[in-house]
Amino acid sequence: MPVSAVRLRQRPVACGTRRWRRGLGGLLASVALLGLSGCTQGFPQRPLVLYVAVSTPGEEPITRELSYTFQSRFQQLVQGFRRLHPNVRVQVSLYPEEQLQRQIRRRTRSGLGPDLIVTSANLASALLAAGLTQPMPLDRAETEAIDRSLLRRVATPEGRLAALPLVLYAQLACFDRRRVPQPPADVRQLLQLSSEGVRVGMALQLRSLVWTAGSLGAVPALQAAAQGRAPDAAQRQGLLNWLRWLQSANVQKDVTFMEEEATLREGLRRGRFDWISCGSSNLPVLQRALGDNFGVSTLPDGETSRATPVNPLRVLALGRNSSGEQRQMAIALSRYSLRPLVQRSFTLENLVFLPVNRRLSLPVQSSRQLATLVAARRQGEAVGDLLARLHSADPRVVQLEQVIVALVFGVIEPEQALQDSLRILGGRR
Amino acid sequence: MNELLLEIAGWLGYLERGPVQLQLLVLLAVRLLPQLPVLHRRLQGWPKALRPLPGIALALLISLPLAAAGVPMGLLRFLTLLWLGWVALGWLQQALPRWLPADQVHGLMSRLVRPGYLVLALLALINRLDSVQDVAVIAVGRLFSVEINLGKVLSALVVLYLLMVGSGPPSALVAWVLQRLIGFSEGSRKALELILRYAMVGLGIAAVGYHLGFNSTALLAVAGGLSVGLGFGIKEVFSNFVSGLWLLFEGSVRPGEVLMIDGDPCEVRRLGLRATLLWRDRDNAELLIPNQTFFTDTATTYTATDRLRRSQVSVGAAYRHDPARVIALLEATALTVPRVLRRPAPKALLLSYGDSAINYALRFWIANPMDNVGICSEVNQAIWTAFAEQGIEIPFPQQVQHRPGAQPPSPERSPRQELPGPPL
Repeated sequence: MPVSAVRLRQRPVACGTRRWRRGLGGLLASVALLGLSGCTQGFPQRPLVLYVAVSTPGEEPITRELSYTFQSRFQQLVQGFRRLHPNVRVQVSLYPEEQLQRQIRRRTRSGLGPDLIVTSANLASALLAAGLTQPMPLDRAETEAIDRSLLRRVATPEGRLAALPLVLYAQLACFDRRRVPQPPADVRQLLQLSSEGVRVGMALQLRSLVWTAGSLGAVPALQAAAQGRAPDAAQRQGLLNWLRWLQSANVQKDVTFMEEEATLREGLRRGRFDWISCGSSNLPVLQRALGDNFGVSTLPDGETSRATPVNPLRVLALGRNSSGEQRQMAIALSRYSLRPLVQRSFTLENLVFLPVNRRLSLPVQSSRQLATLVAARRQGEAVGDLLARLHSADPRVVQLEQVIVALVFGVIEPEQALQDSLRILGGRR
Repeated sequence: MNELLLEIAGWLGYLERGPVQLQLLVLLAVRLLPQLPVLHRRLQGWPKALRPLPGIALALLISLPLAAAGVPMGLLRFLTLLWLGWVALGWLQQALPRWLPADQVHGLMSRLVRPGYLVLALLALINRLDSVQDVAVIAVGRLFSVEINLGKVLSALVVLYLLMVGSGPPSALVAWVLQRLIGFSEGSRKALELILRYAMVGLGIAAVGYHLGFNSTALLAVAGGLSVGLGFGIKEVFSNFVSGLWLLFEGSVRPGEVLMIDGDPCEVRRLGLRATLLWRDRDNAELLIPNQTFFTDTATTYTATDRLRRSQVSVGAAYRHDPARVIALLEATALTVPRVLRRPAPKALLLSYGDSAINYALRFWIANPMDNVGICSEVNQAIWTAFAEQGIEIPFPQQVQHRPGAQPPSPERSPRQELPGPPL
């Protein structure tokens, strides 16, 4: 029976419902979980554990603070779901993104894989390609509600869905208001600020730098090359302008390129930077550290074109080892998370990401942060097609990053970087 | 703590999955199979170390076709390999005595290798069930306003355990190197080794405290709390510990020293945290004496300034022999015993005139106080031989009885002359 045809059974919610269950495992799990959950109203319904693996950004080590943030954020989502399914207990495990695939492979080979995986769109596609997840069953009504460009980021060439989009984070500009009272409107102003002593930090990872490509008009050339077409002269000039800007930016005394966004965040937190590009997932940490001095805005556009931030998409993917009941419940939780009301309240409670449900309207007038997130989403739409073609697991991304590093540190000239970039993007995946 | 218990209880949910049940059942069956009477009898003929091998091989063989059929078998393989690892440690323990002393092998395996293996196996298992990094940040409680998580507790316990168990060899090495460089005595080397070990453990405890996040104020609070506790509850323990440290610094009771305990010379083997271990040569007994005893009671030592001991044997010679000749003979005889030191020279003395003999004492010096009884025996034997050769009589008490009307015995004939044995 295809997974998509599975019907969800509504389970009785009363704690005292009697029901005989099969298997020693269920009995043992029940005794232990009930003992800890404190169910006291007669014989309870057998609990069902849903294992969820959540990836954290990059190689950042898992700290108590990070664990608490992710766990509590996911529990917000599960809280309402448990009203419908009180016997479900969700066990969340956090893995650094760099380790996720290896750990999921190890667990899956043992039959101990998670039922749901919350990760980035790129990684979800890689997991499906590696046979570590199962495609998400398509439900036409629900997928129609999701932004098409987001769905493309998790769709396979065969038309399967590697995962279900959950929320969209945004790439923004974060700054210290004491040093930057007004955020720069364009990249020229950004360099102007740095020349006046504002310490600017940017990440060297390609996905963190692509926004500058939009601001300097290089995206059309990149898109053309990624599609296998030769960019025209104007597009080549746009790409060259971007590469020249990157090299000249690093020459500035107060512009620093760091390897990871986490380093930038810590830099702003500890006062080593005044302005950085940052992921919206970092907003609560920075808000706590800088208080009222914390400022957030969209990334600066160019004079003629807009910035193209890569807004990370978080998705839900199905594991391979679930029992029938766990699979049903994982799909139910995924679909529940897409309900407009759930998405809305989830978004408004956190204010660090946006819903993927396109039918949902958000009260942008009531929150400046929310309005900034929405504006960043609009900026990022221009680069959606490029992202759909260029996953972070794509070897071309690694090669391009090497070219960018060589360019920024002056090892190669912008003209050479232009040739190399077009050759890499035009190459086979 | 509730968070941790919930996490652990959550792992039981895996038992609901068919492949997990299958893998555990196969492992259980393979583990119990040798208990069947038929197989049990057959395996009795195998060397004990090899008996688990058929079960391990069977489990791995079963996993092959099932894995090929797409059934997850990683857990079965993982647990089987852990089992094989444990068996291999047994082989290692049997092989190591070829290169290391048996007691060191036992200590190494039971205190370091096997516990280490179990900890690593547990972590590897948790890594399959969950995210170790995530489990490590689960809070288990608060101490002095510092949140303590599971990872910190585990790492602190491992570090402390390794310090307690593993600080011996590095301390011994440093003490040995210093002894070679500076040239102090063997007893001092042992004392230095112990002091270095205590220092390492002390620093380790402080480092663990800082690792857990305690600031100096919290550590001082711990120290304050301990001092109150020491005042009431564990006064004796602390007193013994401090006495031990004092004795080490003072140098009066160090490993290798010889002390007189109840009249017997005993060698100090180890100065422990609570008690000192001494070895008594007489009956090969080991005595555990609280450190405090040496701190408060009088102790006789033969090794405080040097290891020489002056020993003494007593002997009687008949009145008819010239004392000067006897004294010279005794001193010469002592020098014939190899373990009697030439310098200071042996000294014989006429001590007193007894009822039936003139009593002499022969005093001589020996290098090792623990050899006293054996050397005294050798000296006594040498005196017997020398007296026999020189015709010097060792008389025993004589009593003359007079009967009314009977003739007194002739003075020329002594009843002893008719007895065999003692020298004339």
